[in-house]
Amino acid sequence: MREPLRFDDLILKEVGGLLVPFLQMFGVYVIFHGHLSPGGGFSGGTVAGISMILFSLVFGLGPGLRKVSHDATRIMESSGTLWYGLVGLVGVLRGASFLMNRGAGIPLGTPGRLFSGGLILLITVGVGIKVASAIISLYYLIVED
Amino acid sequence: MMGSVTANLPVLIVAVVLIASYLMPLFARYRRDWCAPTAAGALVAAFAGSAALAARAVTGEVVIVHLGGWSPPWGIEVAVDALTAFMLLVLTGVAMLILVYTISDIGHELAARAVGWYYTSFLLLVAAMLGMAMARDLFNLYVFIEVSSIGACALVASRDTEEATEAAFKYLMLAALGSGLVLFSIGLLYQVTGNLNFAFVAEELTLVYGRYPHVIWVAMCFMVVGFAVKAALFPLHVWLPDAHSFAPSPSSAVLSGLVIKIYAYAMLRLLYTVFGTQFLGADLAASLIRVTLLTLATLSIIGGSLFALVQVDVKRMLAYSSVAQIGYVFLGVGLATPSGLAAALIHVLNHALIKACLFLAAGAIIYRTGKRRTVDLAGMGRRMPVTMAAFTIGALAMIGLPLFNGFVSKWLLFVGGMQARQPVVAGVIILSALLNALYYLPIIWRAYFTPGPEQEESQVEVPLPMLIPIGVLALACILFGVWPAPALALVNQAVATLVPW
Repeated sequence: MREPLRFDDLILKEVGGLLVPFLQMFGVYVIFHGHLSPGGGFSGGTVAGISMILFSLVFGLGPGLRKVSHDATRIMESSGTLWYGLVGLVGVLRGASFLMNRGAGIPLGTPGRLFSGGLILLITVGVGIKVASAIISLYYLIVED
Repeated sequence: MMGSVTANLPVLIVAVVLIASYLMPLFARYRRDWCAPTAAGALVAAFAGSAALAARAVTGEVVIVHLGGWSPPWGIEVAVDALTAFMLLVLTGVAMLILVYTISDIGHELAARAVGWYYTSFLLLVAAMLGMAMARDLFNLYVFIEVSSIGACALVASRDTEEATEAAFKYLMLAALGSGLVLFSIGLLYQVTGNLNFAFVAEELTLVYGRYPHVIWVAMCFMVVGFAVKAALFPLHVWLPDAHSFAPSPSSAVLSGLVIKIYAYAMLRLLYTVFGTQFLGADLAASLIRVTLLTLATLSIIGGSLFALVQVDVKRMLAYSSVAQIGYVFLGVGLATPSGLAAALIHVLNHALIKACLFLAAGAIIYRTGKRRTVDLAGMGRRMPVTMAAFTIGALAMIGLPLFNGFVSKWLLFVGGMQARQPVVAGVIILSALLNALYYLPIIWRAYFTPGPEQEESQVEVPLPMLIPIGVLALACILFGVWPAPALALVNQAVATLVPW
């Protein structure tokens, strides 16, 4: 495959390789603390997705695609949104309203703790997966064209 | 649980279609033959749900859902009254028939890898339109407007030819312009009222109208122009002919039959329930906006027909005819009388049926013979008898002959024009019927009475799964022509709830 955008540079590779795991960690952190601190599914997902863009820029599109393939982004995109819809249906299944949280009898936990806020965390995770994969597949689409 | 399903039915209708849309890319990759049945199943479920809602709404009941249990003005409100139920039935019913046609046709029109994405955008578009019909919140409405624009552009671009891409780009730009204008309007309304929920905005508007009349007038103008661009009213229609004629035939049917109507509906809903007295009032600005609507609608009816008259491509002719027909809907909205409104609404149904039937029939002819030019259709009545019969029914209904559904809406519009003391409107309707006859009748004449080329004598009817939707749509055109009572019951209920005259 043609390598459209690639900078062969030692410093870039070293720093990029170091940065990627931290970026991903930070993305996941922002996603999981969406109900507690600023940020959430969208911003966290963007950060996590951007880590893969950085990886593909530094190491080339081929290695990037080996890490996260087209099929993987497709599955993540669909399942992230599907997950959102299914979590929304929990409220209806429990006899209350669509997307309902406490009213549907979901335990909220202690405010301020990571596992609190009922369904909000689950929904943010779905949004995060969707946004991260959308960012990655957009990059692939633009670069491969 | 059954109770919560009934209580949440409006949301579930949208959710089912959306979830099916998200499943499509996965199915397209791993289980290609699951795509079509899932999509069809979702739309059938949505249609059944809409029918259940319509049965409740026709009695005057309004089904209200507060998402997540948060009540307005903080939460998102979704409601189904008679008007929304009517739109839901039209949308799901026609979309369902078009989808059945799509299943057989689409493999012929698109590359295999695009088919899964086609279903994705089709269902996304339908879900967004259903959401627009039931939204009771300005921002929610705006989000669904954007989703539907993207879905519609994707349907046009799915063809992946040069013309289709150009048409989709043009459509995308003008659709963005239209939604931008609507967003301006929403911003102004939010500034003067501090609310987004329709009922709260309407209540607040009557209080602040004296203080900020100009802001509210400007908001109303932005709203009207924005939706006029998206619904392709005459001078703003430039994107429509390309988008609707270069798209695959099922896309053309859904774009012409449903998408431009839902924007007209959204404008009607906002003008009557949000602006209400500000739109219907007697002051200069309100009357100017109504007169502008009437003028543009009249221009649309005449101009669209005149442009259609000179087209050689069947699908392009049908596209221009849509410009003319959307004029009827806007005419009814601008008349602001009960029967004018009823005519606008019933025409939404009638034109959706007629135009879907015509586009699908034209698509079937292209599918079998590849003929797109009107002059090439000679002898088609013998070669494709069922398709051509459906086309004929659609064309006669479009002209507005009695016993066909087009007559009902034109008659109501005629009466509405008389009631509003606007005899010009009545004249325009008669003139437009003549113009319609002028470009539809030659096609029918040629198809039945001009012999086609010698070597093309054999019958080449399309497969049954494509014929059934065309036939059902054609029969529906006749059914609602001789027995419009059930549709009129819903429409009259809708008009009664819209404005208490």
